[in-house]
Amino acid sequence: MSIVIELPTTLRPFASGEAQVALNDHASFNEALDSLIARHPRLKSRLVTGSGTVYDFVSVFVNDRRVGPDEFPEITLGDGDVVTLVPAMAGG
Amino acid sequence: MNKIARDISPALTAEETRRYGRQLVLDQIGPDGQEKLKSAHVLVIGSGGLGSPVLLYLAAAGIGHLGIVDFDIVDITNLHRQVLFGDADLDCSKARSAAARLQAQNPHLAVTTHEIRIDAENAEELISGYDVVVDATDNFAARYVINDACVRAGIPNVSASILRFDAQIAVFDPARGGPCYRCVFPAPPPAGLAPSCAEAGVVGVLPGIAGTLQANEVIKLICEIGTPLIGRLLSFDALETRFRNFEIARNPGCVACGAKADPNRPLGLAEAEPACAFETPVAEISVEKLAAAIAEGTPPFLLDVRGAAEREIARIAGSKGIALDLLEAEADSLPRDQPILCICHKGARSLKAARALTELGFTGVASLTGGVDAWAERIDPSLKRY
Repeated sequence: MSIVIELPTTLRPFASGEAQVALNDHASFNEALDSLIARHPRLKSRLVTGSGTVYDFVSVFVNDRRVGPDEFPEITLGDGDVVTLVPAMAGG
Repeated sequence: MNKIARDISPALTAEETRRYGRQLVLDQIGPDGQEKLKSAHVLVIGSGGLGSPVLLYLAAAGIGHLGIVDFDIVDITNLHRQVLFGDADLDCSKARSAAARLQAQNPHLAVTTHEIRIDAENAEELISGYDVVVDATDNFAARYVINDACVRAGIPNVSASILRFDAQIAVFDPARGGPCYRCVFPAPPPAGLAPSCAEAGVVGVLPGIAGTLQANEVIKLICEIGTPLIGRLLSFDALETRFRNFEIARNPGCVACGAKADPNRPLGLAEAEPACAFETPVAEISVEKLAAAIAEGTPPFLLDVRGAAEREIARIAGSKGIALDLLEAEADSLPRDQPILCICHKGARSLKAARALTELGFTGVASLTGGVDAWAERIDPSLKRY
């Protein structure tokens, strides 16, 4: 089983420039997030708070549908699922 | 109740019928839609990169009344993307320059200028009476205030934001069943995690693309045609020329639009302000002090944390370049037995860099106040400024 996490432009410098990170054998969103951070530790301080939850300014989408933080523990990921991280931007 | 009581009849004159003929013939618009545009009051907050195309196209399309909120003046660094303005407008009020340009473009247009910064105190009064609000601002504080005020007033918020090569566009409108900005982004980034366009850069055509999409959504809302961008977040990647539609929904627990939202809650971001108080303090030194240290032969290690393109424009001789994004990864290459002076364009990123290095255990780290720009202005005028 393989899932993909898509990283926004602003986070790619902290993930060796990767736009997409493929992960294997992760059934839940939280496991996938832990695995992503284990592979790219410099993402941690930019993606999750001190208590380990995803920052509120980063919206999480699974197959292009937004999922709220309350849903994270219940999200099960299947083969081919795509998780996209979209941070808020303020430029105008 | 519209704030501008205009005695202009919504009926189109013969001249207006000719002017708008190419869109009047569209079945989706027609004379009825054009009269709706003529009767509409649209408030555009920010007349910069996004606001320029929004205002130009809405004025051309026949919106009857445009309000412009902008406290700023035109700077030369605005001109590569803020296409409302030219050299003749430098140092002039953006709101007034924009109004003059738009009324020259379309004499049928009524414009109201508000040369103030939108905030929690004035937001509700500013947006009152408008049919649609366009968020074309450049900072999170304004975005949360606009969101909260629009939610409370039941006015659709046609929002876009840009950075580097990326854009996001959405219509936030809980009154029509969609989410608000807070449903998608409940809180802004902590200080230091969100670069501005001034720090991170923005490609000039990007606000043109995002802003024209905003103008299109305004016209659709007023004419009640098509499928508005409600419940969707449209993202655009200019490098890959790729659009994405993300599905977004209301958050029942949203503090702005949720079922238990407090109608008396202060607007905007008052709760986020204390974040900066916990930042690690760092020393700052002036360009004059650095010049003296170099003259005495005792300069610190000069660390330029700008990107390669910026360093190519101008740099202080002898500085080593490590972009801020890469600093943690390459910190091991920096000396631990020598003071380090972090340098950037104007002194903001260098503060972040100095703070990050201090937190990594480096001692004697400081930031150059005013950055390369101050160095070029006061010490070495041969350097280019940007």
